[in-house]
Amino acid sequence: MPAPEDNATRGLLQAIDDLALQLMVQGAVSITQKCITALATLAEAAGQRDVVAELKTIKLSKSKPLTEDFGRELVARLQVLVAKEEVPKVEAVQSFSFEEDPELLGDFVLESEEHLATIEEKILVLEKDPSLMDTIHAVFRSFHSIKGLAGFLGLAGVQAVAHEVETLLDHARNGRIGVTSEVVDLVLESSEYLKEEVALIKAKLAGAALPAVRDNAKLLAVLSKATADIAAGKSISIETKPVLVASGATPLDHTAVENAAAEAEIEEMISAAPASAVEPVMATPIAIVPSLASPAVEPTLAPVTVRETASTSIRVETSKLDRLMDMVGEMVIAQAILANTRVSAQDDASLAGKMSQLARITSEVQRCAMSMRMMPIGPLFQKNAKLVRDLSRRNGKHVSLELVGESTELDKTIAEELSDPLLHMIRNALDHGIEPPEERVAAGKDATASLCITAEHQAGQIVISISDDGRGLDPDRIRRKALQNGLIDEAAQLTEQEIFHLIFAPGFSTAEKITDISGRGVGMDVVRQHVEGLRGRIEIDSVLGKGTTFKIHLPLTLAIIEGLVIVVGEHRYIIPLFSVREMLRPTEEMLFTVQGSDEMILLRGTLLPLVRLHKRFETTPRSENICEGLLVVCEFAAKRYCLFVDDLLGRQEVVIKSLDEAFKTVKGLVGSAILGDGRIGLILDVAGIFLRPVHVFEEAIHEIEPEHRAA
Amino acid sequence: MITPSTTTNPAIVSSTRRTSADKHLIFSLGKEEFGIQVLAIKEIIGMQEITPVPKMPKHIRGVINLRGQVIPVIDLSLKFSLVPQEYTYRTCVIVVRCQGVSGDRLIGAIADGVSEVLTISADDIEASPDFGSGNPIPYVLGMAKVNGKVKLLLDIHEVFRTDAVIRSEAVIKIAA
Repeated sequence: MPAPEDNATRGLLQAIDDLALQLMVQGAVSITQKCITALATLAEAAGQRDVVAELKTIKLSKSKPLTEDFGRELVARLQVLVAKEEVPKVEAVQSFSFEEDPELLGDFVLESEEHLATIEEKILVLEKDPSLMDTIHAVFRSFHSIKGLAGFLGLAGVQAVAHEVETLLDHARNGRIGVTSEVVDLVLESSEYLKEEVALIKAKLAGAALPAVRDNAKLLAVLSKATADIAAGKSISIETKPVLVASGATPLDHTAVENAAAEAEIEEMISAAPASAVEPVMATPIAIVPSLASPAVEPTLAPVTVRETASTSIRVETSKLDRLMDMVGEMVIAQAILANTRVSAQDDASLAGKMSQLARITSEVQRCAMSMRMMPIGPLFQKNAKLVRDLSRRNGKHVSLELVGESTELDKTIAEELSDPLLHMIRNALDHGIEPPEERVAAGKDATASLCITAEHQAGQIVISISDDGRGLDPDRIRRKALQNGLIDEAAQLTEQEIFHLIFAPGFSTAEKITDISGRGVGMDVVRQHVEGLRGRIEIDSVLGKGTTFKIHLPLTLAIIEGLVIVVGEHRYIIPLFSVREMLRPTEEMLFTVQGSDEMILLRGTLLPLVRLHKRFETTPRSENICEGLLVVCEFAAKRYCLFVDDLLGRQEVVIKSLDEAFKTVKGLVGSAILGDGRIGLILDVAGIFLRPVHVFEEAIHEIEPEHRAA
Repeated sequence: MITPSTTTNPAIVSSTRRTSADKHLIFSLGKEEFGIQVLAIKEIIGMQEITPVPKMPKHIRGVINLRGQVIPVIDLSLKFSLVPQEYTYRTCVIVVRCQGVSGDRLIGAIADGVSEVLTISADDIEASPDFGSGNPIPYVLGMAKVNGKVKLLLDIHEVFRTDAVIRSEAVIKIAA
């Protein structure tokens, strides 16, 4: 197989590439006779007699430098000549497959996945603003890295596609073409292909049988055609149909190819080397040559210096981070205790100084530890940006997507958990919310709908909103449907919010027909479950005919919650702040009794059920008198009630510690936390407290039944 | 308040000729003496401030803060329906490691006092007593006779089993 000649050929190719780059960056002056001679030597070593002959014809001197055009032409000719020799060897590379080091392949999969994620993210940014040179470079680099890795591992298919895209992008980064949506399509199409290939390798590594390598000839053909078109100066007129490419129906869009000769040439390329990357690309420069003389080349573009920023991150197991978080939490508390107990040190000024220094360091350490788990929401948004693009095309809807607040950071676990709900909500918005263009125009709206996804920090929470300007939710229709499905009964008095929240019920769907995107009524239920699992809540804001906004309120991190520390009798409890709407000191007139036992509170015209925490927990309060205590208005699933407690101690951030399984029978508790003085506070579950009596009764019955049977 | 006699380091224990499984920590509840395998014990701490958890059976006293970990505390006297004792300076919490539904869990057991670590060989252990009901007490592994005295050896996994806890709670509710 690879003879020393082979390596020499590669070296030669490299040298020619370098030459081309130099030509581009510094102009023709940089190419001296020395370079030509060096090339000739390399060519000789590679056994490329044609190239040597070509080079021999060139004689350069100071007085007669190489013109730029001639230089380009030369490079192109050389590449073609070398490529001719190269072709059979590429085939050889292809036949060489998978017995390599699985570790290397594993690294390849990991790295490629990262690169592909970058590519998808950046290319969509580019679509919006094609002038971002840095971004083009980033995409280019990613493809280049994949190509390099694939080449190293002998993954010819991957390498070929990556190479083609790289060539295309090279034109883009040299300003020869703009990043049009056709280019974006092509790049995405390719990255999709690469993704699948990478997934295959991953499956193979996991022990699955190796499936046949996908035929990438069509994709390659489209890519190289696009490149050729650009080269021929028709850059704007590329008309690719990626969908067709994927299905393999028509690899080439013939309308775009005005030049019959060019078409013939491309077809020849395809038939000659179906999966070969090198050949078609090498062939394209022929077409470039004549057009280059025209002012199509942007002379203003500065030479490109690509500076790879080394990624300085390490992977750490989350369990280690959790442990660190735990210990830091302990340290913070220990520090707080220490700060409160320095009795004898009161007159020692230097000790006080050291103590406050310790306090500063501790809080900084805590902040650092917390930030380790945080990541920007951007990648998650990007994933969905692609989805919006695909879905809106498939549905024939015009949607312009706006992403705001991509740098907003949130806990990695939350970000991961959020991925599904976001997907469902976007699908929902695209399928149900946004109307087809005709309907929009008829309703006097812009044919292009706008979908806006934002993320922002709001009072210690992260708020993600998804708003569309589509149909909006129809409360009457939802109500009717809910009645039909038996979710509510005729007499139910529901607020608009409560009606809107019905769409989260499992199996609820107002869609007349089930599409492949949504309509089965599963999606929104998934959304609700995930969001509630993350201790978040959803707000719906909708105006019929104007659009809908979903707002997901989430905690910043799962490890820490902000809570209200309240007192009942001698016990302290923590109510998670996200479920508290307001607090008030009630008056006697606000209290009403229903059938002697149940109590209601009339709060600004709204009747809310009253729950006395001491009754639920069977403890002794300081006072039964409602005027001597406090009311906390709690909310869950758009339902509100008042919780009666003795007093409020304050607001505190606490690290959540789960409770032992022995306490799983207690319905009103979600966990515990260690308060500032080292004592434990139990964290209340507002939904559990409200729903409690029925549950406990049922459970007691369940527990007792087996006993009776046994007896 | 770790007493020097209650070394729990398995490395030290296993260096002796007898197997470490034979080592038992002896503690008292009222007038009776009990034994728990030393291997299951994480540490022994002094009495702590206990945060009660509402709606739990009486013997589950609540939770304590064990250096940042929140663990449940069970009063064994109440659990075994013995005469409850006042908490004194001798009262301590034996922190044991036992199997839970989802992995290991730590549980604190309140004892009136720990006395010693004894090596009890299998020969000295008799089967758990049968008082005519036909069912031996589930959480008693056996009875050890040491120097003419009897000590009940406990199966801590059985003692702290959650579903047992739940059932006894339900029974108490019905009885009430």
